[in-house]
Amino acid sequence: MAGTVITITSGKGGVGKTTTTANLGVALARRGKRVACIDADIGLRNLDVILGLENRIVYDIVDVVEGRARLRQALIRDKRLPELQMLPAAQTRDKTAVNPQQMLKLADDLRAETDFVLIDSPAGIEHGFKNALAPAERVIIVTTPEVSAVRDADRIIGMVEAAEKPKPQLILNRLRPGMVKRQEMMSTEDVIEILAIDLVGIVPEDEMIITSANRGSPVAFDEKSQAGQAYGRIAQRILGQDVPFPVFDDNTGILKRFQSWFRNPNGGGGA
Amino acid sequence: MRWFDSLFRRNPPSAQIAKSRLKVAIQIDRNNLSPELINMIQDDIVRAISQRIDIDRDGMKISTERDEGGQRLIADIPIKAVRAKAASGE
Repeated sequence: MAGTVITITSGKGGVGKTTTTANLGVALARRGKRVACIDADIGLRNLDVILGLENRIVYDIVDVVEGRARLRQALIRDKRLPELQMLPAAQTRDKTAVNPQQMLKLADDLRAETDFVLIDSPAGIEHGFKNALAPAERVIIVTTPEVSAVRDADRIIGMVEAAEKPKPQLILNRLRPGMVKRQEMMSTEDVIEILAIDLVGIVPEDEMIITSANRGSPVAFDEKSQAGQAYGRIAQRILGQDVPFPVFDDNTGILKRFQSWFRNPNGGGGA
Repeated sequence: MRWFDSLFRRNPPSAQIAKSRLKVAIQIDRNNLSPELINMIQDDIVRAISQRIDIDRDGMKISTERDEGGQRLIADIPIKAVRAKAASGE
């Protein structure tokens, strides 16, 4: 059975598209699914460093599209998790090097041999976004509870609708439960009310996201952290399981902070 | 006494401000109709209708809606009195 193509997008930059793509890739692969992640951000590739695969790039997406390399040669298989592969973006070209028809063909070739194709969309609403959207069978929109990110998410929802794709699902990223409690940050309910799409996951703000990016080892490899667990739950929901949304603790209290220091004294290693 | 107000926070929490600002911004993005433009339309409507009947300007509501058929402007205008103003004019 051919795999499902899911495009991860947001409109606004810096809300966590690449981190989300990498972690969902890992979380799905850890559940035995064959996953191929495509970095569609040509000219500004980053999925490679987040996944820790940057040293292994030989060919990229433009090489494949222009026929200099076969798809299989360009795909990088993760040695930690053989179910996971990545197709890197080109770094020395721009978004016009690939067109939506080529993306459709590429995604089609990939889905023949995988369960999921995850496309990491570039920010913006132009060429690169349209490339990433063209082959999408499902669309996941990542936003943070900030006015600029939510506004851009609404624009993207409109464009996904205009492209006659199924209604996108939402991942609310970097939620800070302490701020929500003090009513200094919009809550999950607030954001859903405004965007009127279904929620597929909430990822709380977690320092582990930064330390794991530093190491090139996504948090979903080790589902002990709050964010790692959140990605695990999202993967399960993508697989069709009914997983309840937990209420997140306020991590800003002094006692909680002490506890978290004791829980991971050096951020945790992980082999 | 401003310090006292801020201590007990009389102004609404910022999450609430964010939400209401967003709702307006998104409405404008979707419709290309700013509150400024709606106000001008409201003035036009009031001017036109008031020539004929008395309306309750303060109770008037103008909104926009989008559905399958496209975009629509909805005006809810309470009537004070149908005093056939027109009759005097004609």
